[in-house]
Amino acid sequence: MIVKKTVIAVGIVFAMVGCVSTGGSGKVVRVDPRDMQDTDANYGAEDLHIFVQKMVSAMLQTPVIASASKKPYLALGNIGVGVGVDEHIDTKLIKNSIRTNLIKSTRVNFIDSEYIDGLEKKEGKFIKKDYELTGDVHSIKKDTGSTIDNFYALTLKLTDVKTSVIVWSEEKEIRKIVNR
Amino acid sequence: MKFIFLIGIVLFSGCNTPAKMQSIDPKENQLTTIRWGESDLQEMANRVATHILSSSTIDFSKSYSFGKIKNRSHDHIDTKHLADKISMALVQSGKVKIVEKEKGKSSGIFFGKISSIFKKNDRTKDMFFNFNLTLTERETSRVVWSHDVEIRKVYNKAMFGW
Repeated sequence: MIVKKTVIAVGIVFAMVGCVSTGGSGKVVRVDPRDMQDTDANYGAEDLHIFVQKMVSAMLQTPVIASASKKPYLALGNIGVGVGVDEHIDTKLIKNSIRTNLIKSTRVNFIDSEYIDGLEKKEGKFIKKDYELTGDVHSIKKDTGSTIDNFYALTLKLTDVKTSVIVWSEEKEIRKIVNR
Repeated sequence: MKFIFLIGIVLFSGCNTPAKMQSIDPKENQLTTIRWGESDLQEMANRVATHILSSSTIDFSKSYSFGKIKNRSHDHIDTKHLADKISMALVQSGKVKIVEKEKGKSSGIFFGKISSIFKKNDRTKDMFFNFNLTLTERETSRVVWSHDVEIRKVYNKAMFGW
């Protein structure tokens, strides 16, 4: 009798587990994109937000923008990816988000160079840019088996288009460690 | 023994209920997967349109048109549909004048980009979408307005299951 009961119990457990897996195991949840929640040590939305937030607040404090008599005109240049980076980091998304946040601050103007580049006939009274924003993303990743140690760095600079002088430069580093 | 057999049948048949067709209101936010879905398109269009209409930097006495929305994400997205939805919301508001890009003369063009970051490991799948829409002044090429709308969905694997 004891054996039979065990069989039934095991049977029920198996059947229930079976139901869970056929019903699509796991759950999809919506999370607030602004939540600094890491699902692993790889580059994610939280890192994008950290980079953007830090760079925007640093740039708005720099004298060329903070003490400018006239709102300067900026344009996005290229943000490159360093040689050691072996995962996909969308640098275009980083620079676009920085631009959006700077425009929202109403302290700078931005020229849409992508729009001008895409025009067949370059007509219009296009305003000349004062500064260009460029930069690089770097990363170093270490995996010892028991720990994953990921390091990311974003360096940005603002260059005066007329004089080629770098008027502002900043770096933000992120390090994420996961113990297995 | 027959008893055990019966229990088994009852339990297993419970699992194998035939797939049921269900109509759902597309405006209802139902999460079935972390991938791009109809509800994401609806939500992004609504959020962006609301933001445009409440903007203090856009001159509503002028007319605007829609340029391309580029899909740079991991998923297939009907960006034309997204642009149409936003344009429709603006037209219906009666506040913004939208003209056909090829024919009409607009003073500014809306351009968009959808990007995504996807990560997965043994336990989770993590999908992040960023939709950026900008309004570029045709005459000067100045970006008059820019806004980001973001959605993040995380899939957690169940404890049981194989």
